[in-house]
Amino acid sequence: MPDGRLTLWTLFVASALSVTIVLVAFGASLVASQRRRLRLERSGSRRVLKAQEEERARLAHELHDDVLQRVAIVHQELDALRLEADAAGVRRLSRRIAAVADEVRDLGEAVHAAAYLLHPSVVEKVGLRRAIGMLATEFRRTAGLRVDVTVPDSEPSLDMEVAVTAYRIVQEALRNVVKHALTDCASVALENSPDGITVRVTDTGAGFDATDETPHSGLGLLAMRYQAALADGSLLVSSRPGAGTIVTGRFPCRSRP
Amino acid sequence: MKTPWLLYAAALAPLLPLGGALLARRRPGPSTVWVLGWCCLLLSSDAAALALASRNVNNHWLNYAATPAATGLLLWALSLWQTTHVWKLTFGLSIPVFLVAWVALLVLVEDISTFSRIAEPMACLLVLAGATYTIATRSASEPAPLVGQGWFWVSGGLALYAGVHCAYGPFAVLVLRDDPSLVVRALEVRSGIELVAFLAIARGALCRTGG
Repeated sequence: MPDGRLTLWTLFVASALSVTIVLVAFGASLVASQRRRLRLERSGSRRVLKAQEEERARLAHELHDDVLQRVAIVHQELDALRLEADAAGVRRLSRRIAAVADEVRDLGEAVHAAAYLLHPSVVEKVGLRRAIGMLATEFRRTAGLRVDVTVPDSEPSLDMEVAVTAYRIVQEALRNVVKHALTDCASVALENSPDGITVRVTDTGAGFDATDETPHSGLGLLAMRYQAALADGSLLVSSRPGAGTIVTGRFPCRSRP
Repeated sequence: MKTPWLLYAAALAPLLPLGGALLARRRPGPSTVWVLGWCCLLLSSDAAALALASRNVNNHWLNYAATPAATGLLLWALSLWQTTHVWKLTFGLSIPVFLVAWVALLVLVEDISTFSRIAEPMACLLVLAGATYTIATRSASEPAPLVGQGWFWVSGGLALYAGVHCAYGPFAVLVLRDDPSLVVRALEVRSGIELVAFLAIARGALCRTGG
């Protein structure tokens, strides 16, 4: 091949191969840098969630150890005052003190419930199955929501981070039922499988358009999805207006380190 | 001269994305639909070009007729993948501008009885730039893994296809008179890279998201 054509041929092959190599290297570097970015975002978000749980635990302790004790003392004082009023024969005052004491007792119960719902250690102490049962009882007591709970016979073997995430998702889903579903009954099912667990919160209330992806719609659901993803799980929400809502969270047995 | 098998394989390569879309068993995304339309156009124009070449009839005019439509389809597909309205509009508006430039080059510069020296490389550079820009901008904001996104593979395949086509035309024009066998060898190199490009596009057509 004469020199001129050889040069042209070499140029052509070199340019074709360089385009290929540059594009492949470009794609590979993008994939690698995106993996790095996602890993960093993930660990950052995990740290934020952990800090949030720690803050909730601190608040719960504060409520339990300080506020609740003071409320109990005020209640005792009011009881003593009522007895004194009874003894002095001031029955009208006694009745008013009794009414205030009842209010204070209700306040104490509300504070106790708030502290309990805030504290993540409930899952650690009693396990996810019982924690969900207790959550259902609290929602019935505080919001009048009748929650049917179905749990497996044995406690699922879960990483604590995953168990707390599943618990928080059930809690948020039940909160949504109280706020938006216009119904007084819901059901929670916890299913155990060799790969992981499934939590399902179902209601037959108002429902909504689950396909609506406008920015203002379902920020709470977005947060739940994000939380589920951080625990290597997934969240599926199926709903239609008037047809109720099913929130399904799936989580692996063990989360990645 | 006997036509090398690699040329036939490259002419049939647009079937790969179509097969990928069929295998995926779901409706492809809007951009992928336009890319599949481009594959159909390529299949028919390549088949016609091969048929004409086998009868020793000049088929260059076919390339000049198909390239503006193919480039328009690709730019439109890429416009649907843009993340901002401004860039969607820019890609959309680039189509009529490109068509005007194409006609002007054909009338003033190109000889439609041979390989394109300027117009086709210009079209390919436009697609290469558009596809590379799409990959770069979308990957910066993509929250899901890139390898699972249809746009990533399809844009990558299109960039590769356009990149290798950029170099081929001017080279073919330069060596055609002195050594036509070198043109065929270059066509073989181009066909090999085209096959890789269509495999990437087919991989994109199989993706569940980002189509």
